[in-house]
Amino acid sequence: MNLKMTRFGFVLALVLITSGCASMGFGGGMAPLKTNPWADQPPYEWPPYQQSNAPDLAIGPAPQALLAEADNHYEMGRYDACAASLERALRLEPRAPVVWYRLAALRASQHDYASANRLSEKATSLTTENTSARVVQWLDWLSDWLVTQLNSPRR
Amino acid sequence: MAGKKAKSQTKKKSKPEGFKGWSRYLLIRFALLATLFGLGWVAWLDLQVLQQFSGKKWSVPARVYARPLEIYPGASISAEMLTKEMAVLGYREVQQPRRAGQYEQVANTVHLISRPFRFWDGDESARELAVTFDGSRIRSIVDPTSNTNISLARLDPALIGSIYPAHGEDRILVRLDQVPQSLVSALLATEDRRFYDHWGVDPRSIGRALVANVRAGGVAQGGSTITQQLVKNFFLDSRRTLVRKANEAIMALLLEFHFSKDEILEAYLNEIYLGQDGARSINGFGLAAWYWFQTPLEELALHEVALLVGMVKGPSYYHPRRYPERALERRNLVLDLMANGSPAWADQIETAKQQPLGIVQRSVIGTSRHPGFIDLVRRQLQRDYRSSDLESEGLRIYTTFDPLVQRSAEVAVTNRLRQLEQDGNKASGSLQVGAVFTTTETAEVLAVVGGRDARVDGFNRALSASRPVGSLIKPVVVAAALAGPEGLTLASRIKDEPLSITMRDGQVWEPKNYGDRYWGEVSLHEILVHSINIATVNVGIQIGVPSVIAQLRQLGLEQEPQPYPSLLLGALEMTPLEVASLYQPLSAGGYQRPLSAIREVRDAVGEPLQRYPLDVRQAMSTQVAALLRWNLQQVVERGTARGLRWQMPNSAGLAGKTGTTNELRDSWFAGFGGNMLGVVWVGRDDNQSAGLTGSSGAMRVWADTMKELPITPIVEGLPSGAEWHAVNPSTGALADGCDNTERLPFLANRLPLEQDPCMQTQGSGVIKRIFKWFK
Repeated sequence: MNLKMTRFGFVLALVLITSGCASMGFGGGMAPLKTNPWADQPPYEWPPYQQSNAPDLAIGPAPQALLAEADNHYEMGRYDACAASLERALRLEPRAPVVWYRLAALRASQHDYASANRLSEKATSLTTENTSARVVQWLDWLSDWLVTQLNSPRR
Repeated sequence: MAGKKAKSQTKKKSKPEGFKGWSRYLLIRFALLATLFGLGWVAWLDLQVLQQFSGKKWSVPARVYARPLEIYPGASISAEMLTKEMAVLGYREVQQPRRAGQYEQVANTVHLISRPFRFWDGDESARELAVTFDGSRIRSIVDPTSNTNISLARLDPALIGSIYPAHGEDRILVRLDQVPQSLVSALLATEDRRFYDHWGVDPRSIGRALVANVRAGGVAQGGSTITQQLVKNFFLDSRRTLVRKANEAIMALLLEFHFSKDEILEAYLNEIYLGQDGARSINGFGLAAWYWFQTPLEELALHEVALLVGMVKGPSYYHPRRYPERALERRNLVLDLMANGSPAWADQIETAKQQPLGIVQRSVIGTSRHPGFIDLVRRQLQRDYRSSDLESEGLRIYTTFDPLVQRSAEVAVTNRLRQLEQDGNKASGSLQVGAVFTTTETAEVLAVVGGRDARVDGFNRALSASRPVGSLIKPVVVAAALAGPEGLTLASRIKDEPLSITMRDGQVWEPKNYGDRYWGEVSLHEILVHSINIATVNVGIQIGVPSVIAQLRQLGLEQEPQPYPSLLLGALEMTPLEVASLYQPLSAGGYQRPLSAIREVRDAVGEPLQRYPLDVRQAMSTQVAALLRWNLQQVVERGTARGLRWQMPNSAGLAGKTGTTNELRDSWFAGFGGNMLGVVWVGRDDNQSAGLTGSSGAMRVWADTMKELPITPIVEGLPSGAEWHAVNPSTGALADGCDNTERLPFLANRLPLEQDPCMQTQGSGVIKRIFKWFK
């Protein structure tokens, strides 16, 4: 009836429009992905992995089990063991972008940005139209973040 | 003595008088000197004993393990492959597996109990597994005790060799508490019944031996204790003089003085000489168990243990292959002595005596089996460790070696070379080979063949024979052309006519095509498919030889070759390993990883020494790599390597390049699939003509190797940034939607500039009109 209502209506409209845009989202029809968790400074986290038990990662149960093992090692701070599990997964699925991605992410978390960048590019080169949108997005975020790390004057 | 004192008291420093006096004087002096000398001698022996025996008793070589076989549902592993692997590991086929290291095959299921093993990333415990196969794949893996499905399991890795210290000995160290009880019983019963009671020397047994020897009129029995034998074996050579025996006895006593019975027994078990393998001696029961039975010591049966114990007395005299009856008799004697010694064994003895010797046909441990690969391991380690560390600290090196690939390669080499020599009327043994097999993406070296006799630890052709690569270089020329600024595509037309090049120094170079055939004009991709020399030279001249060299360097070539045009036809010497390194990025989307033979290294107590972290480098763009890969697939599909299609059943989707040099001196083939890459060189050591082309020689060996292995086809499509287009085959002009075209891959930002006229009149015209609407 008055300014309050108009303001309310305005906010409501804004909310509706924003949520409409959000639900159109990425990859058409999929759940909206969260914003880049690494937009801020490190410590580098590994959140997308915990969140996804995604069956659309398109790899078999054996390498899947190894990725879970790798996650576990990472949680416990056993980075060498984490790398070993990832490399073991890689031998079973040498062309799975998600495995190369994790190696890149591990390297990045250990501050070896140059190596992480190379591995991340390798992962990207392996993506096809069948690769899960999630993995593609993670790779995007990771490479953006690495670019900033590599270009910053302080490492 | 009283007399002497009396004498010296009265005569002080005066010399003794008379013969008796003199002789006694001298005798005493001599006795003192002798005692001093004796004590000194004993002290010196004592020093030796302590030095040799305390701390590091002997140099332990580094042990080299193959890759562990990983099994999981869906894996391309057949029942035959699994049983072959278990044979390599020394697993035993039994009726019902009860212990680790045993298996049974019933129809298409293999029931096994794996051995426990501590890997880098955790322990793999002994597991009972029922593996069911579906043709050449694993269908399922079940734990029969809990009836749960297993998604992944690792077998223990095969021991494939050792890096020896200079004196050529080798060991598998065992601890006293690890060895079978039967071994200790047999040993004591046969060699030293009173081991735990005497002081190092056993006068009773010496006496008995003496009596027996006198009766026999010669040396029929030794009276040596285990301690004495250890001394003999460890310190002294085999001369059997009285002085030696005396030294031996004294040192035995000293040994017993310093060390416990158990320590001495343990050392004996690890030290005793039990055979010879060429230049290497087999010392210790741990190694002997592997050497004679291909089984770990803990898993030996009673009759096998008895044979080894019997051989202690004389491994050559009782050699089980040379003198099997003698060995059998001796073994049964040992069994009898065991039964006499302790009734606990009595009921097993009769069965044991009925058993055959049970030794393996061929003993396969140590560097003598896979010197080619071990050589590569040693080289890679030498970059990062001191040689002395490698040879004495008992390192455990876990490698990428695949025994099944190696076996396949060795068989292929042996049979095919023999065939080639027969077919070509060549002298037997004149052809030689060098080959390397690796994975593609992870760049792990699976097998190395250094020569046609893979067991010979000599010149390693795979790693050291630098030969001109010939046509193997052509893909690099094409890659440089596709990536370079000249705008060349796979459809570009290149002249192929007689060519004569005048060099800067006035010399004229006239390259020839194989068979003197001239194609007139060809598309760029044809030069790989048919390995066309002159067209290659024309491309190379157009882009510049330095471009090709730059591309070679991008691919990891360490040499800096001179920019002569002959480089374009492969006047560049490389080893098979270097060639594999060059082709690996082509098989991995343009990403290079240095070829690696080692996964991890650990010290003698299992602590990690160094990891080799995985890293890659982009050697060429993914799109150029994809174009090149397609081109190399065409070589197999319809080019110089099309023979593969009838030589192996699994040739679909493979890529490769044949290579031949002048006068057919070198025959090369480099080929890959989705998962594996192999490079083979065949030729003569004296560099004379081998009379073989790449496809008639090296490629045959490659095919024979790969047809037995699960090589996968290349299944990738084009990456983004590359696309398919149709072209007019004779002009190279773009001709999408037209008839009589050839479909080729292109870089999306580099299509043929020309458009074929047919594109104006056909469907593409419709598209153009539609586009016009949106303008």
